[in-house]
Amino acid sequence: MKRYTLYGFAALLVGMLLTVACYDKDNTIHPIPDLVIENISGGNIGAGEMLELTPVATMGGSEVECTYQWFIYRDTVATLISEENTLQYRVDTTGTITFNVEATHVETGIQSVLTFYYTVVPRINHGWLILKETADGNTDMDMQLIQGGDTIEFAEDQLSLALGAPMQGRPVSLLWTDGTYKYVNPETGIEEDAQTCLVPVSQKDILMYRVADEKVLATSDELFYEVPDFSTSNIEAFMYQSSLAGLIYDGQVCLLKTRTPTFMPPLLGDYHLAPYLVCWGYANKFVVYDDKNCSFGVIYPSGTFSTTMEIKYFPDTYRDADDLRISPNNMNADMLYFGQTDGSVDPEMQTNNGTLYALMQKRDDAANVWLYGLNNYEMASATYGPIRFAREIPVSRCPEFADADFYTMHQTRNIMYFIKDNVLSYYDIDRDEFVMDVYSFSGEVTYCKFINNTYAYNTASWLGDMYDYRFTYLVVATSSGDEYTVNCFDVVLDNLTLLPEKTITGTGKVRFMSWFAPSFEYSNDVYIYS
Amino acid sequence: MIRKFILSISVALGCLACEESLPKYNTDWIGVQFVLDNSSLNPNEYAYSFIGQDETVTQDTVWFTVRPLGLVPDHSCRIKLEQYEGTEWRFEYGADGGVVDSVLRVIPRQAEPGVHYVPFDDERMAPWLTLEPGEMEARIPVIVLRDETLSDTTYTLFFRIADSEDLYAGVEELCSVELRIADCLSRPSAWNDWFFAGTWSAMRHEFMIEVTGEPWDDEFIGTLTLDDKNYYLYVFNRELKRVNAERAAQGLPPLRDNPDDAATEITFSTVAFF
Repeated sequence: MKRYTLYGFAALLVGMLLTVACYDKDNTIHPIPDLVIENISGGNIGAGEMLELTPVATMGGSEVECTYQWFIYRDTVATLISEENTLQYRVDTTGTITFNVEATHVETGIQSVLTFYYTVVPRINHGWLILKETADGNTDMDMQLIQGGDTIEFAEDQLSLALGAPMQGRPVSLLWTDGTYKYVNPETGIEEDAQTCLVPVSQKDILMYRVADEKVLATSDELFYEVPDFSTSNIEAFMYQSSLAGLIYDGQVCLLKTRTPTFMPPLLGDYHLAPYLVCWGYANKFVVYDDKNCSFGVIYPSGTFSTTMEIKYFPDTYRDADDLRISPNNMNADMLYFGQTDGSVDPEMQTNNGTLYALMQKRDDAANVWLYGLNNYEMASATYGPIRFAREIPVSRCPEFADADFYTMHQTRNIMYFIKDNVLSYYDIDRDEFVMDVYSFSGEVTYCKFINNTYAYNTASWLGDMYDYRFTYLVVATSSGDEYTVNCFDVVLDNLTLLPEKTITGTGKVRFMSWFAPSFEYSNDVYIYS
Repeated sequence: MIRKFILSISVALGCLACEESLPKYNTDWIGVQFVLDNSSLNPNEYAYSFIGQDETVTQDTVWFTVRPLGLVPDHSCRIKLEQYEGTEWRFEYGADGGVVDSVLRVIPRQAEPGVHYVPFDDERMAPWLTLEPGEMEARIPVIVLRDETLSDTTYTLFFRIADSEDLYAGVEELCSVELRIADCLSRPSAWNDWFFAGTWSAMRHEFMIEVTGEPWDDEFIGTLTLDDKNYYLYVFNRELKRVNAERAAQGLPPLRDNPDDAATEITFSTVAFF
C-alpha cells in the first residue's frame, strides 16, 4: 500500500511539473513576426533598360537589416544575379521575366522570399512605321515611336541598321503579324510560335522583323518553300490578316497560313492578278481582280480540312434583289484602283457589310471610267455576283480622276480622294460630285492614304497601361530634294484640317505608312491598309 | 533492476530483428535488345531498297542498334540473331460485321538466307555480332543481297535476337524486327496506314519521287514537319493536275495506283493532320 502511495505521489509530481512547464506566466504567446519584403512590385520595363530596385524588409512593422540574394528564372532554372541590397539589372531578354528576391534577417537568420514579374515592353510599342524609298531606289524604314507619355523617338533607317543595307527594290508594304507568325529557328530547329513581327515588303524582298528585340528572323530565302525569282519579277502587293497573309508577285499570289513559317507556292490556275488584295473587317479573305480573265475572285484561308489551292471566282448568278445583275466575269476592263470602305452599297443589306469600290476602265472605251461597288457580304461564300453599284463616268467630267497618281477611300463614307499633279481632290460617290483642288502640295506627292486608326487604344485597366491614340487622318507624304514631309489632315465629315504639329520629316520618299499598336484590336482593323 | 535491463535489451533486439535482409542483385543475368524508334507507329518495321543504287552494287548493309540489359558486359559477348517465320491472322467477317472465322497464315515472300541476305551464322557476320566489354550500345548489321528476284518483288526478313551462350534476349517486343528488302520501290516502314500521302502503291511512290526529287524513304519522311507535309501535298496536287492533263492530251487515263483498275485513280488530300 505504501508502495502504491509512492507511485501515486511520483505520478502527481510529474503531472504538476508538466503543467508548470507549459504554463505561460503572462498567458500570452509571442511569435516571432514575419519577415516582410516591401517596396518591390512587378511592372513593365523597356527592352535594354536598367532595372533598379531597393527593397525594404520589416518585421512587425519595423524596418530590419537584411542581406539579399536576387535570382532570375530562365525556364525553371534560377540564376543568382546579385547579392547587393539594391538590384541593378539591365534587361536583356524579351517577354515576361520572373525575379526572386531572398531576404535574410541578419539578427535571426529568418528568411523571406518574394517573387515578382516584369514585362519587357519593346521599343516598338506605339507609333508610325514609315516605309520609304532611298535615293538609290531601295527600301528602308523610319519609325516615329511613342516612348512613355508624350516622349517621341524618331528612328531612321532601321532596316539598314538591322541588315547592313536597305532592302532591295522599291517599297511595297509594311504591316505586322500581331502574334501570328511561327518562327522556326534554323540553328536549333525549335519552333517559336506566336511571334509579333513587322513585315517590311519591298519589290525584291520580304522580312520578318521581330518587334520584341528588333531582330530579323527571316528573309525571303526562308519565307518561301519555292523562292520566286525576284530578279525577273517584283512583289506588287502584300496583305496580312490574322489567319491569312497574301503576297502578289508578277500577277501570281502566294499565301501564308498564319502560325506557319513559310509561304506556299502560288495558287494554281491561269491568272494574272491586279496588285490589290482587298479585304474588309475581320474577314480573313481577300477579293482580287484577275486582269487576265477580267474577273473578280475571292481568296480564302486554308482551313482545317483543306488547303486553298485556287482562286474562287464569283459565278454569274444573282440574288433576287440584285437589279443590276452585272457579271463579275469577263469585264474586259483594267483596274485603276480597288479599295474599301465601311459604308454599304446594297439597299438590301445596309447593315455594316462594307463595300469594295473598283475604279475600272473598259479596254475598248477610253472615254469613260466605271466605278463598281461590290458588296462585301458576298465574299463569305462567293455564290452570287457581288456588284451592287455601277456608274459610268465620262473621263471628260474629270480627267484628273481617270488618271490620278493616288487614290484612297474614306473609311466610313462613300468618298474617294485622289491626287493628280500634287493637287488633292475627291469624288463624293453618293452625290456624284467632284470637289476639286482641296489642297495643293509643294514638292512631289509620294503617298496618300486615308488611315482610320480605330484600334490603338486601351480603356481597360486590367489590360495594362491605358492609352488612346486613335485618329482619323488623311495622310499625304511629299518629297522635296532628299527630304520627305508627312502631312496629316484631320478629317471631320468633308472637312480636312492640316495638323502642323503632326508633321513628320525625314530623308527619302515615303511609300507606305501604318500606325503600330500592340493591341489585339489591330487584327480587326488591319483591313484599312488594304 | 536486472529485469528492467533485460526487458530493454529485448525491445532493442526486437527492433533490430525487423530489418529487412534484401537479396543480392542477380549478377548473372545480361541481356540484349534492339533500340527501336518509339515515335514510330510501327517501330519494329524497317525497309530497304536497292533502287537508285548503281548497278554494280550487289550488297548493302542495314544497321540496327542494340544495347545491353542487366549488367554491362565485362567480356566480349556474342549476339545471336535468328530468322523466324512471319505469320499473320486473317479474319473473315459476317454480314453483321462480326468475325466468323480466322486463319493464321504464313506471310508470303519471306527472305531466303544466302539469297536475300547474308545468313546470321556466316563467318562474315561474326565480328559484328558482339557486345564488347563496357559497351552500352552497339550497331549490328544485316547484309542485304541484291538478288534478281528483288527487282519486282519485296521480300521480308523476320528476325530476332535469340539467347546466346553470353547474352539473353531482352524484352520480347524489342527483340524482333521485320525488314522488307527490295530492288524496286518498296513501302517505307514510316508509310503506315495513316500516312498523309494516302495508301502506298509503287505508282504513287514513284510519282512522289519524280515530282519532288526526294527519296521518300524512312529517313526523309522522318525529317518532315507538319508544315512540310502540307507543302508537299500542295506540290503533289499541283503536279498531279499537270501530269494528268498531259496524259489526257495523249489519250491516256489519269494516273492510277493500279494501272489496270480504273477505280484506283490517284488523289491526294490537301491537308495533313499529323
